[in-house]
Amino acid sequence: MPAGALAVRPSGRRSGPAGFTAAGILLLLLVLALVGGSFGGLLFHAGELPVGAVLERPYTWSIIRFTLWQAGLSTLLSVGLAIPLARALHRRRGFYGRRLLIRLTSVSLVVPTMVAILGMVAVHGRNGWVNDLLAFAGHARQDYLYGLAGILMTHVFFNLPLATRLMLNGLAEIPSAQWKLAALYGFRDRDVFRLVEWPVLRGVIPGVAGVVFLLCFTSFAIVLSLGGGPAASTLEVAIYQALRFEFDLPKAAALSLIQVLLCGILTVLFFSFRGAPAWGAADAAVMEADRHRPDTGGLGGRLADAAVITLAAVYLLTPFIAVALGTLDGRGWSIVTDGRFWHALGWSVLISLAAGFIATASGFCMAWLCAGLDGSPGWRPLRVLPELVGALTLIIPPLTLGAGLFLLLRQYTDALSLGHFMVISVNALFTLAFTLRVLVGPVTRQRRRFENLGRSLGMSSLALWRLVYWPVLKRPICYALALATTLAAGDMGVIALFGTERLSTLPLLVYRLLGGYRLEQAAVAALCLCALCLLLFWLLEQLARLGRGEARDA
Amino acid sequence: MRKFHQIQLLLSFVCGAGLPALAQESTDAPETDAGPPVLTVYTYDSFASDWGPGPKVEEAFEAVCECDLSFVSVDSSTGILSRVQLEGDTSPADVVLGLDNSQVVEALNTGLIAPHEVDVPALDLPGDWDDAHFLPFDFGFFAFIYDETRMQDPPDSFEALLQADDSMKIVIQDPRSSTPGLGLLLWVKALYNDQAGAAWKRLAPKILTVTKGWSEAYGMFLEEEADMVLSYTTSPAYHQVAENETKYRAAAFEEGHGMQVEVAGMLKNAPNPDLARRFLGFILTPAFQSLIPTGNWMYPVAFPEEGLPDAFNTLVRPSRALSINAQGVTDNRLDWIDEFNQALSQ
Repeated sequence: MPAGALAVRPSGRRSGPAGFTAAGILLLLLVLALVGGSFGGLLFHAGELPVGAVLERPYTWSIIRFTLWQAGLSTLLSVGLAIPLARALHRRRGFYGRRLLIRLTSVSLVVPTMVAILGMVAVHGRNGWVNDLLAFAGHARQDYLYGLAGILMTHVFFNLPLATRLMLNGLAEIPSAQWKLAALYGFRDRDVFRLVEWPVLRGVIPGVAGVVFLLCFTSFAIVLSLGGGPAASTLEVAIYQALRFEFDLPKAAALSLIQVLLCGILTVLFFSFRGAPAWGAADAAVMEADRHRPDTGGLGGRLADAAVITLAAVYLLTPFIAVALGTLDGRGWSIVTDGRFWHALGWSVLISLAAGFIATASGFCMAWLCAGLDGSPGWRPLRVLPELVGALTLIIPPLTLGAGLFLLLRQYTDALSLGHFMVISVNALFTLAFTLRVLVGPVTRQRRRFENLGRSLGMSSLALWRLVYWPVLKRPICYALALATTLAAGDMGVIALFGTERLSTLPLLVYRLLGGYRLEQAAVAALCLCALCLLLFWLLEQLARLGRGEARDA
Repeated sequence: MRKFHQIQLLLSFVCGAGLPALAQESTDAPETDAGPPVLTVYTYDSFASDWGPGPKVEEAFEAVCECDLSFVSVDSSTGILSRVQLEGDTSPADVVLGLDNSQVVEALNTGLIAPHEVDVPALDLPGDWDDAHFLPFDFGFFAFIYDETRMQDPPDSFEALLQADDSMKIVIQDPRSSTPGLGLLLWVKALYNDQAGAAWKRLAPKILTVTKGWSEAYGMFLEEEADMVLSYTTSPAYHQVAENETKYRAAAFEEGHGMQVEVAGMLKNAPNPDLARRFLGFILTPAFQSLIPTGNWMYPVAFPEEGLPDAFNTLVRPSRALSINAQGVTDNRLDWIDEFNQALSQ
């Protein structure tokens, strides 16, 4: 297939810089080859797949049921709670700490799971703050953390911020004109939600819910550690057991296949509710809620919003604060004078930036391809393909992918000698799903709106890019870069698969310190990791401000 | 070698794609620089980590071997085995270090392990060691750790633990994902055999939660979430040596404690078989053994002449070391895990 073919418009003119489309196709094929190759490698190596035998065991069904149940509930809670929180944050732009709160929400996903678990325990455990308060008020202490409740609470801790941020991005895309109209008609709160906000949120929610669902579906340590017992297991745990514990490749492959099919079907369902979610508005737009909202007055509304924001902030920040307070006695801080800390920090920055750049560049090219497919009627049905391929990396268990890669590469080289390279590329692969979601919306909208106009004005590809695309797309691009980089900085799964002696990153350091009894130092290192992510996020988002040509994404 | 990695890193910046192409290149590249031979040892993460014995072992062996010892750390001891199984005949590993006594038959069944051919001297290990393929390098006993300022009257036997009030909470680890977790499973099996399921049911109400790994469980215990945590009899030594803290104790059980022996072995297709054999011999020498107590927080298999560190003398020494032969573990452990799952899922 010639490179530009997919981007041909009815007019027959070539659209946009064809290089991006070609790169998009190449990358799509590369990702497919890599994921398909490693997964296929495992399936092939496994020989016959005992899918039937695996499904015959009642145990398999009980964990599938539990996996779906906890992931469904976690998604419902995270997304359901994100709606009022996002609305409140969008309405109230004046309060102190809003920027920080929104930024903090962007890094919640990178907190090492073990640290988050210990943070939750410190606040909600039997001996935690909430129980201290209960005891102080004369009530009996409650064991509410262990079991389904603990799983849901921790999943909400991780995913509520993400869902809120993505919905805020959606709300920020509502044009001022709509708000002016709403004000003109004197819309009440209910009308604002029903007629202005909901149509936008309805487009965002399926995509958000899809990602949150996948993240919770494949959750491992949280489900196991806070679930209270072995009854709380996910398919991911069963795959781990088959691969690590039994080294039963056929069984692992069969279980992985079940997971991939199940998640694949559900992802397609989520996508089919509405194509691409409108992720990734310019960050600045999110920061400045629209001045024209008519529903910001009224004492009741103010109080309600204040309550929602305060509750959410308390819930989301207390585990961080608990971890931070735990470091106050000063014993753990010796770690920052340790050369190995700085070594790990350096590698974290390098690896995450490299992975972030690759994921963003690939995500952009694939989003461009997506937009091209969207714009040509014949190819339109295929437009979900790049996104689906992007979501694949969230669906396939990292261990399965890792095992497959080992099998795939062992004919060529030992995967070890590729240490850093593997960590970077697999991390880029895992964050691709996120950058794609951020970029597909803006890129598609921008191409749809301006391409024909630009062409009819006789603009060259370069001029079109410089004057039309870049000024608007630079913000989502920088947001995608910031998101991918921080996600890669917090990565533990990939690095654990390919880790070698020479390779050390902050999450790995945290893990090693925890494994060596050094909890205080681990807490300090984890705090530094969060600070690093905040800093990286902020710096990378600032890139969008460089240079001339400020423009607002609509 | 290090430089090579940097070049690869650079390349990965530039290319970002073309993985197979790069993979192809790298097979030719590293062999060209003729430095000392590289001995590759797969081990679990906390052994190779900067806070484990790994770096000092590397230094000590490199001082005598004229080679470059390279530890490759895998996240857990089950990870070591599955890694060499995935790599099969093409594994670049010379030695695997960190499997334990419950895994030896399974490891042997892979057909990837060569006999060690090392003369084993008398060891300070409970029981004899006559395995032709694996050499022990340290050992320890599983135990429940408590804080004596919070618990004055800890159970003195496993039976007492089962009979304890249900308000007494313990945190344990999952046998599918954690070595101590599997250790407890085998310990219960060794004590209760056919009645293990019933024993688990009696224990169930006291189990606060079953964590994925040791770190989460131990962290919860230190945060005073639970009264006891499954760990090793040697855990209190860490607190004594590193923190000068003596309140953590292991509960001594009169029926005896589950024992873990950690072993090393060399691969049949080891790229440097002679060096690998030399390293296996080195493992039993004082240079290696002296690093174990305060590096890996386990007992060395050959006690140093000057004796163990002081903190180790205050520890609980189990009256009986319990273990299940590896063949039995290999044959039955899936059933036993099912038994555990069922008992705790009700």
